[in-house]
Amino acid sequence: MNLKQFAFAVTLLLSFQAFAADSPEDLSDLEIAHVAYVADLIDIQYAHIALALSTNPDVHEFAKTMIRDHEAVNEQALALLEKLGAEAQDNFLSQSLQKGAKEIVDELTSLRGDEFDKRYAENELSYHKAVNDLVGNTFIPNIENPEVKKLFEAGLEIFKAHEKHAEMMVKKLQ
Amino acid sequence: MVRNSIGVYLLFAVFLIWTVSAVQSVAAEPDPSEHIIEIVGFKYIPDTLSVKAGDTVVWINKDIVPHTATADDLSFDTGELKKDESTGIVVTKDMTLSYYCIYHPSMRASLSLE
Repeated sequence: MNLKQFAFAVTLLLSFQAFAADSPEDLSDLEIAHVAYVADLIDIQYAHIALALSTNPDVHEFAKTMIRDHEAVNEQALALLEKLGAEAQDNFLSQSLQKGAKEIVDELTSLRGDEFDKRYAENELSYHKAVNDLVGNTFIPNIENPEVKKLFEAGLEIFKAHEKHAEMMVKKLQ
Repeated sequence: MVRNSIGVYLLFAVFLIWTVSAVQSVAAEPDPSEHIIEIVGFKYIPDTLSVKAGDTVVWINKDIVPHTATADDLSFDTGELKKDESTGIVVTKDMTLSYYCIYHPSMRASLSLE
Protein backbone atom coordinates (compact mmCIF):
# COMPACT_ATOMS: atom_id res chain seq x y z
CA MET A 1 0.00 0.00 0.00
CA ASN A 2 1.55 3.29 -1.07
CA LEU A 3 1.11 6.65 0.64
CA LYS A 4 -1.90 7.72 -1.44
CA GLN A 5 -3.70 4.39 -0.92
CA PHE A 6 -2.95 4.59 2.79
CA ALA A 7 -4.26 8.16 2.93
CA PHE A 8 -7.46 7.06 1.13
CA ALA A 9 -7.98 4.19 3.58
CA VAL A 10 -7.41 6.51 6.55
CA THR A 11 -9.84 9.07 5.10
CA LEU A 12 -12.48 6.38 4.67
CA LEU A 13 -11.91 5.13 8.21
CA LEU A 14 -12.05 8.65 9.64
CA SER A 15 -15.24 9.30 7.70
CA PHE A 16 -16.80 6.32 9.42
CA GLN A 17 -15.51 7.35 12.85
CA ALA A 18 -16.61 10.96 12.42
CA PHE A 19 -20.15 9.66 12.30
CA ALA A 20 -19.77 7.34 15.26
CA ALA A 21 -23.32 8.06 16.30
CA ASP A 22 -24.42 6.67 12.95
CA SER A 23 -21.85 3.96 12.41
CA PRO A 24 -22.03 1.67 9.33
CA GLU A 25 -23.11 -1.19 11.64
CA ASP A 26 -26.29 0.74 12.46
CA LEU A 27 -27.44 1.21 8.88
CA SER A 28 -30.70 -0.42 7.81
CA ASP A 29 -30.90 -2.71 4.77
CA LEU A 30 -32.31 0.16 2.68
CA GLU A 31 -29.51 2.49 3.75
CA ILE A 32 -26.93 -0.19 3.00
CA ALA A 33 -28.51 -0.63 -0.45
CA HIS A 34 -28.13 3.12 -1.03
CA VAL A 35 -24.45 3.04 -0.05
CA ALA A 36 -23.81 0.16 -2.44
CA TYR A 37 -25.69 1.88 -5.25
CA VAL A 38 -23.67 5.08 -4.74
CA ALA A 39 -20.40 3.12 -4.52
CA ASP A 40 -21.24 1.50 -7.89
CA LEU A 41 -22.05 4.87 -9.45
CA ILE A 42 -18.77 6.33 -8.20
CA ASP A 43 -16.75 3.56 -9.81
CA ILE A 44 -18.70 3.99 -13.05
CA GLN A 45 -17.84 7.71 -12.93
CA TYR A 46 -14.11 6.93 -12.48
CA ALA A 47 -14.32 4.52 -15.43
CA HIS A 48 -15.86 7.15 -17.70
CA ILE A 49 -13.03 9.54 -16.78
CA ALA A 50 -10.53 6.80 -17.66
CA LEU A 51 -12.17 6.24 -21.04
CA ALA A 52 -12.02 9.97 -21.72
CA LEU A 53 -8.45 10.62 -20.55
CA SER A 54 -6.44 7.44 -21.02
CA THR A 55 -5.06 6.09 -24.27
CA ASN A 56 -3.84 2.83 -22.72
CA PRO A 57 -5.82 -0.16 -24.16
CA ASP A 58 -5.55 -2.13 -20.87
CA VAL A 59 -6.95 0.79 -18.91
CA HIS A 60 -9.78 1.11 -21.44
CA GLU A 61 -10.65 -2.60 -21.17
CA PHE A 62 -10.64 -2.42 -17.39
CA ALA A 63 -12.78 0.73 -17.37
CA LYS A 64 -15.31 -0.83 -19.76
CA THR A 65 -15.51 -3.88 -17.47
CA MET A 66 -16.15 -1.64 -14.46
CA ILE A 67 -18.99 0.13 -16.28
CA ARG A 68 -20.50 -3.15 -17.54
CA ASP A 69 -20.30 -4.95 -14.18
CA HIS A 70 -21.34 -2.13 -11.86
CA GLU A 71 -24.28 -1.27 -14.11
CA ALA A 72 -25.34 -4.94 -14.06
CA VAL A 73 -25.15 -5.04 -10.26
CA ASN A 74 -27.13 -1.83 -9.89
CA GLU A 75 -29.74 -3.15 -12.32
CA GLN A 76 -30.18 -6.23 -10.12
CA ALA A 77 -30.32 -4.09 -6.98
CA LEU A 78 -33.04 -1.86 -8.45
CA ALA A 79 -35.00 -4.91 -9.61
CA LEU A 80 -34.83 -6.37 -6.10
CA LEU A 81 -35.91 -3.11 -4.48
CA GLU A 82 -38.84 -2.93 -6.88
CA LYS A 83 -39.78 -6.51 -6.06
CA LEU A 84 -39.63 -5.69 -2.36
CA GLY A 85 -41.64 -2.50 -2.94
CA ALA A 86 -38.91 -0.49 -1.20
CA GLU A 87 -36.68 2.47 -1.97
CA ALA A 88 -33.01 2.88 -1.05
CA GLN A 89 -32.45 5.53 1.65
CA ASP A 90 -29.79 8.21 1.52
CA ASN A 91 -27.57 8.37 4.61
CA PHE A 92 -24.35 9.76 6.08
CA LEU A 93 -22.15 7.08 4.55
CA SER A 94 -23.47 7.56 1.00
CA GLN A 95 -22.82 11.29 1.39
CA SER A 96 -19.35 10.69 2.78
CA LEU A 97 -18.49 8.43 -0.15
CA GLN A 98 -19.71 11.05 -2.63
CA LYS A 99 -17.62 13.73 -0.93
CA GLY A 100 -14.51 11.53 -1.07
CA ALA A 101 -15.20 10.71 -4.72
CA LYS A 102 -15.33 14.39 -5.66
CA GLU A 103 -11.77 14.83 -4.41
CA ILE A 104 -10.60 11.81 -6.39
CA VAL A 105 -12.38 13.04 -9.53
CA ASP A 106 -10.66 16.44 -9.17
CA GLU A 107 -7.30 14.72 -8.81
CA LEU A 108 -7.82 12.28 -11.69
CA THR A 109 -8.97 14.96 -14.10
CA SER A 110 -5.81 16.97 -13.43
CA LEU A 111 -3.56 14.11 -14.56
CA ARG A 112 -2.58 12.87 -18.03
CA GLY A 113 -0.66 10.02 -19.66
CA ASP A 114 1.15 7.43 -17.54
CA GLU A 115 0.58 9.50 -14.43
CA PHE A 116 -3.18 9.27 -14.93
CA ASP A 117 -3.10 5.52 -15.72
CA LYS A 118 -1.09 4.70 -12.61
CA ARG A 119 -3.25 6.83 -10.34
CA TYR A 120 -6.47 5.43 -11.80
CA ALA A 121 -5.24 1.85 -11.32
CA GLU A 122 -4.03 2.52 -7.77
CA ASN A 123 -7.30 4.18 -6.86
CA GLU A 124 -9.29 1.26 -8.30
CA LEU A 125 -7.27 -1.12 -6.15
CA SER A 126 -7.62 0.87 -2.93
CA TYR A 127 -11.29 1.68 -3.61
CA HIS A 128 -12.23 -1.98 -4.19
CA LYS A 129 -10.20 -3.06 -1.15
CA ALA A 130 -11.98 -0.53 1.07
CA VAL A 131 -15.45 -1.31 -0.31
CA ASN A 132 -14.88 -5.08 -0.11
CA ASP A 133 -13.81 -4.76 3.50
CA LEU A 134 -16.94 -2.75 4.28
CA VAL A 135 -19.28 -5.11 2.41
CA GLY A 136 -17.71 -8.34 3.71
CA ASN A 137 -17.11 -7.39 7.33
CA THR A 138 -19.84 -4.87 8.10
CA PHE A 139 -22.70 -4.94 5.60
CA ILE A 140 -23.22 -8.67 4.96
CA PRO A 141 -23.18 -9.67 8.66
CA ASN A 142 -25.74 -6.92 9.43
CA ILE A 143 -28.18 -7.27 6.49
CA GLU A 144 -31.48 -8.73 7.67
CA ASN A 145 -33.35 -9.46 4.44
CA PRO A 146 -32.11 -12.80 2.97
CA GLU A 147 -32.58 -11.68 -0.66
CA VAL A 148 -30.65 -8.47 -0.08
CA LYS A 149 -27.93 -10.45 1.71
CA LYS A 150 -27.71 -12.89 -1.22
CA LEU A 151 -27.30 -10.02 -3.68
CA PHE A 152 -24.52 -8.50 -1.57
CA GLU A 153 -22.76 -11.87 -1.36
CA ALA A 154 -22.86 -12.11 -5.16
CA GLY A 155 -21.70 -8.50 -5.39
CA LEU A 156 -18.76 -9.18 -3.09
CA GLU A 157 -17.58 -12.00 -5.36
CA ILE A 158 -17.68 -9.60 -8.31
CA PHE A 159 -15.83 -6.82 -6.50
CA LYS A 160 -13.17 -9.23 -5.24
CA ALA A 161 -12.54 -10.21 -8.87
CA HIS A 162 -12.27 -6.49 -9.69
CA GLU A 163 -9.76 -6.07 -6.87
CA LYS A 164 -7.61 -8.87 -8.36
CA HIS A 165 -7.94 -7.35 -11.82
CA ALA A 166 -6.93 -3.92 -10.47
CA GLU A 167 -3.95 -5.53 -8.72
CA MET A 168 -2.84 -7.02 -12.06
CA MET A 169 -3.23 -3.64 -13.74
CA VAL A 170 -1.23 -1.80 -11.06
CA LYS A 171 1.63 -4.31 -11.47
CA LYS A 172 1.53 -4.02 -15.26
CA LEU A 173 1.66 -0.23 -15.16
CA GLN A 174 4.64 -0.07 -12.78
CA MET B 1 -30.66 -67.12 -66.45
CA VAL B 2 -27.60 -68.42 -64.50
CA ARG B 3 -25.71 -65.25 -65.39
CA ASN B 4 -28.59 -63.18 -64.01
CA SER B 5 -28.59 -65.17 -60.73
CA ILE B 6 -24.85 -64.61 -60.29
CA GLY B 7 -25.40 -60.92 -60.87
CA VAL B 8 -28.08 -60.77 -58.19
CA TYR B 9 -25.86 -62.69 -55.71
CA LEU B 10 -22.95 -60.34 -56.44
CA LEU B 11 -25.12 -57.31 -55.96
CA PHE B 12 -26.42 -58.72 -52.67
CA ALA B 13 -22.87 -59.48 -51.48
CA VAL B 14 -21.72 -55.94 -52.29
CA PHE B 15 -24.74 -54.51 -50.46
CA LEU B 16 -24.01 -56.75 -47.43
CA ILE B 17 -20.36 -55.68 -47.27
CA TRP B 18 -21.33 -52.03 -47.59
CA THR B 19 -23.95 -52.35 -44.83
CA VAL B 20 -21.56 -54.14 -42.43
CA SER B 21 -18.80 -51.59 -42.99
CA ALA B 22 -21.27 -48.73 -42.51
CA VAL B 23 -22.50 -50.26 -39.24
CA GLN B 24 -18.89 -50.80 -38.09
CA SER B 25 -17.95 -47.21 -38.83
CA VAL B 26 -20.97 -45.96 -36.89
CA ALA B 27 -20.04 -48.22 -33.97
CA ALA B 28 -16.44 -46.94 -34.04
CA GLU B 29 -17.48 -43.29 -33.79
CA PRO B 30 -20.08 -42.67 -31.09
CA ASP B 31 -22.55 -39.82 -31.50
CA PRO B 32 -21.23 -36.37 -30.61
CA SER B 33 -22.08 -35.30 -27.06
CA GLU B 34 -23.19 -32.01 -25.58
CA HIS B 35 -21.31 -30.71 -22.53
CA ILE B 36 -22.48 -27.95 -20.22
CA ILE B 37 -20.08 -25.54 -18.50
CA GLU B 38 -21.69 -23.21 -15.97
CA ILE B 39 -20.16 -19.83 -15.15
CA VAL B 40 -20.83 -19.25 -11.46
CA GLY B 41 -19.09 -16.90 -9.03
CA PHE B 42 -16.42 -15.93 -11.59
CA LYS B 43 -15.52 -19.59 -12.18
CA TYR B 44 -16.04 -22.01 -15.09
CA ILE B 45 -17.54 -25.22 -13.68
CA PRO B 46 -15.99 -27.63 -14.52
CA ASP B 47 -12.74 -25.80 -15.20
CA THR B 48 -11.29 -28.77 -17.10
CA LEU B 49 -13.37 -30.89 -19.46
CA SER B 50 -12.53 -33.83 -21.69
CA VAL B 51 -14.17 -33.53 -25.14
CA LYS B 52 -13.83 -35.02 -28.60
CA ALA B 53 -14.03 -33.48 -32.06
CA GLY B 54 -17.67 -33.01 -33.06
CA ASP B 55 -18.91 -32.52 -29.48
CA THR B 56 -20.65 -29.31 -28.56
CA VAL B 57 -19.65 -27.32 -25.49
CA VAL B 58 -22.33 -25.00 -24.11
CA TRP B 59 -21.38 -22.22 -21.71
CA ILE B 60 -24.19 -20.87 -19.48
CA ASN B 61 -23.64 -17.69 -17.47
CA LYS B 62 -25.28 -17.82 -14.03
CA ASP B 63 -23.54 -14.67 -12.74
CA ILE B 64 -25.11 -11.22 -12.52
CA VAL B 65 -22.39 -9.70 -14.68
CA PRO B 66 -21.60 -10.59 -18.31
CA HIS B 67 -18.79 -13.01 -19.14
CA THR B 68 -17.25 -14.65 -22.21
CA ALA B 69 -15.44 -17.90 -22.95
CA THR B 70 -12.72 -16.84 -25.37
CA ALA B 71 -9.81 -18.93 -26.71
CA ASP B 72 -6.38 -17.68 -25.69
CA ASP B 73 -5.62 -16.99 -29.36
CA LEU B 74 -9.18 -15.64 -29.93
CA SER B 75 -9.90 -18.52 -32.37
CA PHE B 76 -13.23 -19.16 -30.66
CA ASP B 77 -15.42 -16.85 -28.64
CA THR B 78 -18.88 -17.20 -27.14
CA GLY B 79 -19.31 -13.44 -27.31
CA GLU B 80 -20.87 -11.61 -24.39
CA LEU B 81 -23.07 -13.85 -22.23
CA LYS B 82 -25.39 -11.91 -19.96
CA LYS B 83 -27.09 -13.51 -16.95
CA ASP B 84 -28.74 -16.84 -17.93
CA GLU B 85 -27.59 -16.58 -21.56
CA SER B 86 -25.78 -19.50 -23.22
CA THR B 87 -23.82 -20.28 -26.38
CA GLY B 88 -22.59 -23.57 -27.82
CA ILE B 89 -19.40 -24.15 -29.78
CA VAL B 90 -18.58 -27.30 -31.78
CA VAL B 91 -15.20 -28.84 -30.92
CA THR B 92 -12.75 -29.28 -33.77
CA LYS B 93 -9.56 -31.38 -33.84
CA ASP B 94 -7.22 -28.41 -34.13
CA MET B 95 -8.96 -25.97 -31.83
CA THR B 96 -7.18 -24.03 -29.09
CA LEU B 97 -8.13 -25.60 -25.79
CA SER B 98 -7.36 -22.99 -23.15
CA TYR B 99 -9.75 -20.11 -22.76
CA TYR B 100 -10.57 -17.17 -20.48
CA CYS B 101 -13.09 -14.42 -19.87
CA ILE B 102 -12.11 -11.42 -21.95
CA TYR B 103 -13.73 -9.09 -19.38
CA HIS B 104 -12.18 -10.77 -16.32
CA PRO B 105 -8.75 -12.13 -17.32
CA SER B 106 -8.23 -13.94 -14.00
CA MET B 107 -11.02 -16.37 -15.01
CA ARG B 108 -9.32 -19.23 -16.85
CA ALA B 109 -10.18 -22.83 -17.80
CA SER B 110 -9.41 -25.43 -20.47
CA LEU B 111 -10.76 -28.29 -22.55
CA SER B 112 -8.79 -31.47 -23.28
CA LEU B 113 -9.20 -33.41 -26.51
CA GLU B 114 -9.74 -37.20 -26.18
